[in-house]
Amino acid sequence: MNNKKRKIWSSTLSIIVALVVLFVIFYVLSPSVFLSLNNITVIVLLSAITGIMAMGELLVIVVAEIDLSVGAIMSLTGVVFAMFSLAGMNVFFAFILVILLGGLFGLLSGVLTCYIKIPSFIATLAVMVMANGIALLATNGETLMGISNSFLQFGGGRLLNIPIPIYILLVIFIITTILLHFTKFGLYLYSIGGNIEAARLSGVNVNFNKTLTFVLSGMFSAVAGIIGVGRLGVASPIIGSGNQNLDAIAAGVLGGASLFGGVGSTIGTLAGSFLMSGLDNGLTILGISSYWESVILGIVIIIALMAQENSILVSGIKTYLSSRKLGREKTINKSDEVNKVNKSTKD
Amino acid sequence: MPDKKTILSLRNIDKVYYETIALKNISIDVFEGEILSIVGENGAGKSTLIKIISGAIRPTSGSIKFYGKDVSITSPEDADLLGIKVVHQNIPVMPNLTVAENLLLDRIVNRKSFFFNKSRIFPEAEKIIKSVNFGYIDPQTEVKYLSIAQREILSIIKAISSNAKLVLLDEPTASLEEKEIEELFRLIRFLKSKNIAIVFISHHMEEVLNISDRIAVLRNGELVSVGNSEEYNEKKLKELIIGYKTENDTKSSDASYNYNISKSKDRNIILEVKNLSKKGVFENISFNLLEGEVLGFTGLLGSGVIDLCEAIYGSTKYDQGAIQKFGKKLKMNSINTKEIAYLPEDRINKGVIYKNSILNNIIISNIPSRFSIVDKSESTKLVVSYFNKLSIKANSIFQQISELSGGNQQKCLIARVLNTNADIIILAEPTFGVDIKTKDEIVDIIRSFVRENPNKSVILASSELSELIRASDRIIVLKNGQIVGSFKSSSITREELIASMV
Repeated sequence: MNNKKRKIWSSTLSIIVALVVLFVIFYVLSPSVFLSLNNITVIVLLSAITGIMAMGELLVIVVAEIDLSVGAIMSLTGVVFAMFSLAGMNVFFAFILVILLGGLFGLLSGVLTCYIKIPSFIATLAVMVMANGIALLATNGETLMGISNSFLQFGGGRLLNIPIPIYILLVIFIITTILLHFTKFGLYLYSIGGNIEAARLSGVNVNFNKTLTFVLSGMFSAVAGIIGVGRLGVASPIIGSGNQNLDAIAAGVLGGASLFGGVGSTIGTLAGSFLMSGLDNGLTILGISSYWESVILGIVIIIALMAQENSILVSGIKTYLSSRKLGREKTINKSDEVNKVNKSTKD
Repeated sequence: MPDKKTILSLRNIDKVYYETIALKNISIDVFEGEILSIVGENGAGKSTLIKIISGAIRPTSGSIKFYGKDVSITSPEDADLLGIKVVHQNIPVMPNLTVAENLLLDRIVNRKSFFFNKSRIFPEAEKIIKSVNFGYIDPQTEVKYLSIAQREILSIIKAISSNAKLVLLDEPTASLEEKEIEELFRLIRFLKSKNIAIVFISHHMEEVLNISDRIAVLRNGELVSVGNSEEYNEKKLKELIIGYKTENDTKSSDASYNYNISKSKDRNIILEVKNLSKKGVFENISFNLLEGEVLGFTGLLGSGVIDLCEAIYGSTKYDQGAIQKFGKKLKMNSINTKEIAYLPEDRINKGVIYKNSILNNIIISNIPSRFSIVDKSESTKLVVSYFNKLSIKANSIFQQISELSGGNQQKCLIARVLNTNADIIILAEPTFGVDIKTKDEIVDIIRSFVRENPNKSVILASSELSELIRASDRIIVLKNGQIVGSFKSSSITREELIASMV
């Protein structure tokens, strides 16, 4: 059992260390504000949209694919949700329909990738462009206003004085954790990411399970879209056209997921999205220009990835340290041995 | 051949790997403009010899002379500079580039200019292709549009286009059809006419007898015979390869012998394969698998054994025929691990699921669960029981599978297959690439499986014949995709099996 615990710990270790270091730095720089309960709430709230999309993205990344359409699906579903409101639809009915719409776009990505064998990078790029276009068509490129209050609750409301998006993030986090770490489906995803041919020959329905990850990613993006509308109070067809795709991917990768598949955890991904929103928030408090924020975020991502256990930098340092530890005498012995071996193969 | 110059002469070549002797005291000459074939069963030392000549490995002792001068070939580059060119089984061509680009790539690399003129290389390539009389290959076509034979011809042309004295062809006909082989032979004969020496390796006796000037036979690392090809016929070659006299060809020619073993001991037929065919891979395969039986399959490379296993398992398609389990037709190209389980022949690419724990690897085909939630304690118990049963050595069941030795990884994959609880398990090369002790253990696992489950059966495909004979009840031999023999393993020897394969 120890072994497994160590494994999960080590893959999320760097992100947690990074998170702690970041929070300590900001705490030292602005002790009165940064770690206040209010500000912590703001950080979690800020990370809700990225965190929810990152959970779906994580599922896709674990099977060694990528979903570039999450931001566009967020825009489109937000717009459709707002239009349902303007049409006077029941809020829960609208909620369900919008989630299904997100799933439908995910299904399209999944089918294109798994059954028509278009690389996911291109397939989801096409879906992204398409969804962005439909969002602009539906609104004529304008921002929709006058959305009824009940529709805005998902993003703007509070329950027990805690913003509702935080609850939604928690629910999505728990759902994804159960799916990925406790169900057969999750095990199938890791096996597909580990060796797709071996998984297929072991009886895993590779295409079906992979498609399902895209569907879930689309549905989670729709949830993010609904929250986005509530946070702004209006529905913008370009809300997801910024860095949303890359933020979702970065959160997973910061949390230890590998773009080659087979590795990644929900807790790491959650920590990854906290790191990004914490950085954003801390720099804002310190009054640093938001242009700098992007630059610093980029640097943090690079440092975090270099610090990951399996990175070439860390393994290089480890090899260097262990070779120094061996001491002079042993090194000499070893080189003798090497010489001997070389000699015997030459002879 | 006294009138021909000796290109290469090997004297007293030995090669020892740790404790196994791969080559013993090999002395042989290769003359200008001759075609020398090297034959022998798997593991006889053919590829070791080729590797020594081409500089991929160095001999433990012995000397090599090239045009009468002592040389030490320490690397493939050395061999290349001398004019020794190797064409391997898998042809390294870039399918997205044109014929001309493939042909001239190494020269383009060596040119000093930054730009290169596409239109200039086409006439250059055309000249080379025309010089070997293969004018119908257009230098402007992309290689992906060429047939396998044409690609092979292309890689041979590439090998000989600069200063070739000796060309080594390692099983060049393995993936070719008969008509294509003729094309290849045309090229080989052309090279011969240009005084280039050719060393040809093939499993197919007819081809060897057809093309060679001389034939050398290797057996267990020793050169047992070498002489002009007129001195040999198919029967004599086989005997030399195996190392004993076949009284007559009864067993291999009497292919219909005992196909459908009678329902001895009233055992039921569990699987019935009828006239299974896949174009160019296997043809008209029919057999019955009985309950509680281990049915062995074997054949040389390209005989279609592995493809047949995959077709039965349902991981590939076939063209014709039917597979019935208990009289019920099984769907084509549809994997159902509850019915049939499969251990792939390629552990590294098709078996091991990397970045996953040993536990995940074992339970993946049949995960203990309640309402889709993985039952962790049940899984742990299950995996521990396989650890004991198959004596898998690991620190923890949660360890990454990639940290285990090859033999232990293989046992984990066998545990995965056993864990499906399928009635039929297909094991492809289960003893390949594992140590001798594990080989024995795997044979024991197979035998005890059918002993403990008299209603279940095993299909065992293996090219390791002693393990195959020990583990199987019956053995079916495939050659060029067809059944050429069926034997009771209690009454057959390793040598007889080889005789039916070659």
